[in-house]
Amino acid sequence: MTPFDILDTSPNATDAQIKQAYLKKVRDYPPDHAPLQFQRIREAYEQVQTEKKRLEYRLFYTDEPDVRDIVGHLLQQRGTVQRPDKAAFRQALKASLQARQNT
Amino acid sequence: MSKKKQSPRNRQKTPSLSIFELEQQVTIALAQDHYKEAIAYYKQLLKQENKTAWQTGLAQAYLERGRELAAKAMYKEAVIMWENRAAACKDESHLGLYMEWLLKAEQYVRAARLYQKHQIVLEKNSTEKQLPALFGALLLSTDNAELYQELKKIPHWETHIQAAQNLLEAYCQGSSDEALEVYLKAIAFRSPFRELRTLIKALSTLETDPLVAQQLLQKIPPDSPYQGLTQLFPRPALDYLDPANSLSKPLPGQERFFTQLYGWNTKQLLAFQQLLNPNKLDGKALFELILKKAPILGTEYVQRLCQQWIPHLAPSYLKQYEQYFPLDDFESARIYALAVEKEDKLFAGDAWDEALELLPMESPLPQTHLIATFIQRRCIQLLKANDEFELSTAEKPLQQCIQWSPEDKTSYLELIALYKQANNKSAYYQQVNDTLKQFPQDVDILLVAVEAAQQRKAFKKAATYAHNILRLDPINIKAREILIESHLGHARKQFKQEKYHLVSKELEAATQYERGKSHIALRIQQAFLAYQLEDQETAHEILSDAIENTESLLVTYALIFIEAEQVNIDPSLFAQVYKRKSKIPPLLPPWSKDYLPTIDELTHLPTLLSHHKNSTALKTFLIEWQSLLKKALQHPLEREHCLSLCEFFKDTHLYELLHLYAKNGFKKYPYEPVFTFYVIYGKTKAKYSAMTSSDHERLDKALTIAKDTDDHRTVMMIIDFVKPRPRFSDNRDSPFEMSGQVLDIEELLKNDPDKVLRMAFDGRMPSEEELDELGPDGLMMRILQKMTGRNFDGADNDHGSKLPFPDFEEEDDDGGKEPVNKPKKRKRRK
Repeated sequence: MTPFDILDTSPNATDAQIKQAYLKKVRDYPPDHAPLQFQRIREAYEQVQTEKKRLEYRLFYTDEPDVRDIVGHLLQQRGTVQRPDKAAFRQALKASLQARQNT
Repeated sequence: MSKKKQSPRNRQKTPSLSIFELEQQVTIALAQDHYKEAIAYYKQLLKQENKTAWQTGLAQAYLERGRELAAKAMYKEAVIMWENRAAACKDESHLGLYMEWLLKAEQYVRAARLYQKHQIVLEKNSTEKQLPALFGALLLSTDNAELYQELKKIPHWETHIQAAQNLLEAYCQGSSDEALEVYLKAIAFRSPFRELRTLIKALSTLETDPLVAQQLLQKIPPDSPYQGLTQLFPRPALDYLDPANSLSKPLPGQERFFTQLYGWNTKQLLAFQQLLNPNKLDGKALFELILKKAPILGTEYVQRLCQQWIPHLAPSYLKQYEQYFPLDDFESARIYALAVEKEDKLFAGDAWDEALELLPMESPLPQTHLIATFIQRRCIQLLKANDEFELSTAEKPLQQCIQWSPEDKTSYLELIALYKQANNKSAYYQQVNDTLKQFPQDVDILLVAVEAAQQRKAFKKAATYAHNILRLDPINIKAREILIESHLGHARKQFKQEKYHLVSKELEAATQYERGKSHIALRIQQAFLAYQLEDQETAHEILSDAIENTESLLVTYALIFIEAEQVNIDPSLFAQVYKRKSKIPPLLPPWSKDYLPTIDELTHLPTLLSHHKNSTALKTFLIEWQSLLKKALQHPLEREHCLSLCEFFKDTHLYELLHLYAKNGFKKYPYEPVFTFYVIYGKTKAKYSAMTSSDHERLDKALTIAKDTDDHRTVMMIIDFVKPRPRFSDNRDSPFEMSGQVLDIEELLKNDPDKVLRMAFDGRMPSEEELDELGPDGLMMRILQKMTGRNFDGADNDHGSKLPFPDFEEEDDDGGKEPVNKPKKRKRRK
């Protein structure tokens, strides 16, 4: 996941917007409750907190992506939530109960 | 011949088995977990006599057979086993197991009937702790009329079922939150649909606040029948970082529900399923898939992802990428340079230079100059990585960076570091001053200025800068330390002049910068002052307190010696070790005989005392405590710690300890040339002339290995060691000095071959033929002649060999203990 995904902010965000996003994430994932997430939030913030750092990130950062990260990104690309219809709900519940019985 | 195994059925047909034999067969079958056979034998036994023990045995065999079948997922057969057992043995125990098998065999109606009949027993004994909730969920998921008929027979269930169905109906038909609230409230606390209520509440909240929806889902217990659905809910990106949270993946049959929750279309779901393909995608397939799915994943995201990924892949991927997203020349060169960097840092500088040339510097974009600065600095980092960070290579690029981006302080700091490393003092001080003018209120720059001032022994200036730092950053530890040291320095001066009231003032001033009572040197000076003012009790108290709170007793004792030396106090007044020499009782607590420095104390020794390497008092202390330090060798030392201790003992000229610690390191790391060097250096007490022929040989090998492994530090240490030659007092070049020159030439040839060749051939480049004719040795000789102005071919060469490099092949008869003064044979350098 990119630092922008982690901070839930746009790559074009300003320093202030990024700081705001960072503080919000720290509130949602305080270090004592979610140390792993907090560490990643902190790292992400340090990577892109200023315009210069964002430029350095854009110019020099390289990484071999993990499919899990890409899927994680895709899962954040959400449209408007639709209420499931009754049949869809029933089918989904049935599938999960069957899976539950088989474990 | 192999015996054919008789099946139990066949055996049943043989009525000749006696009761004794049948019992024996039962025992064997049970011991071998052959429950099917055991059942058959028990049945035969029971035909002959209705014994209770056999009945019990048969019941147990049925149960075990049922378990066996369930383990193979043959739940229907397992159910039959339990029912046969109940019929044949009148044993209806283990109802929980029966219920489990019925549910797994999807015989929900019979399971519900059983539940209705034995509700209390089952809720107590069933492995399924959520039986009521499970039946409720099963009813909702199947809408099975027969199941409904069975469940509604249970008291209150009809009302519960009705309320749950109304709630689901209202939610799915899109009722407003207010309307839904009525249906939610209709679900009683004791209802088997209690968790459905939480789930529907979370589903409706998801539309407005996904985070609150997640919090609601946390209330659904992990064994709830609705847990499977909670896994499909969208989560914040960060939740996926926790390995405990698996990626939401719909099961067959859940896709529609899943896409509705995410507001996805079928293309998005397909992309998702392709990415989570159970047959793991290889790099190429994944790269292609991501490029194709750019409209779904987000174009900007895919561009960034691929650009960051290409440097780790083959260059062909860049072409493939450009088919989807064409790049301008600079971007293409940038990605290429990153790829070269991954491949080999040595060539990356050129690749970045090419990228830099393509950067449109005349562009009005404000970032262009900063990009150029960053790239130039990247090249500087590469120089550092390649050990080429020198004035000749880095000065101009850094000055260029400052011109491009005068507001970017990193270039200034790099340039200061460069001048400092090159020991170009005037340029260093000038650059510090210029930088300070540019950034007068910057803590990092002020810290650099403090360091420069301290080097110039301008302590007042250093203290002024430190004050400025504290104004900007009141908790800056380094500035505080500088100010404490500044006051301590003054206090020491006053101490020597016996102006104790001024000492007191300085120490008091130092205390205000101390955080807690952590500064040991300050504590020691306070104790000295108290002692000098004949307040032994306070002195004793301060020192005892310092010792109690210290992390390293060894270092504290050493510091007492060092501080005493600096104020002309005899340490014998304080230390137990000198007790016998002094009539005054010591102020320090007695040194326990059993005391063994801990591994931390030992390893902190070089770090904490690095500033005092030249102190005579430290040396005296360490000699006094030598036996203790030898004893401490029983600690298992890591390589890095062993090396830093060796270096510390080398710098403090404690050769015996160096020899011991180096031998210890050598035992563990015999192939590391640095330990070979330290062993020889310690053994010979840093005297070149004390080396034996085997030492020469070992050191020569160590030098070769160090060069081959790019261990430049060890190379330098060995060269420094072999350079001074007490034997060669006639100022003629020694073999080792020559070897140093050979090394220099090799370095020069590596870095700037053209320059060396031109120098050797009077300013012109030699032809290939000339070089072939000379050969490598001849070339080296010619370069040496040009460098030294001497002829090594014959008369002028003492040693009669073409190349001045020593080789000591034969060990002395006495095992190489005799120092060798004369190299016997020259080694031909590769």
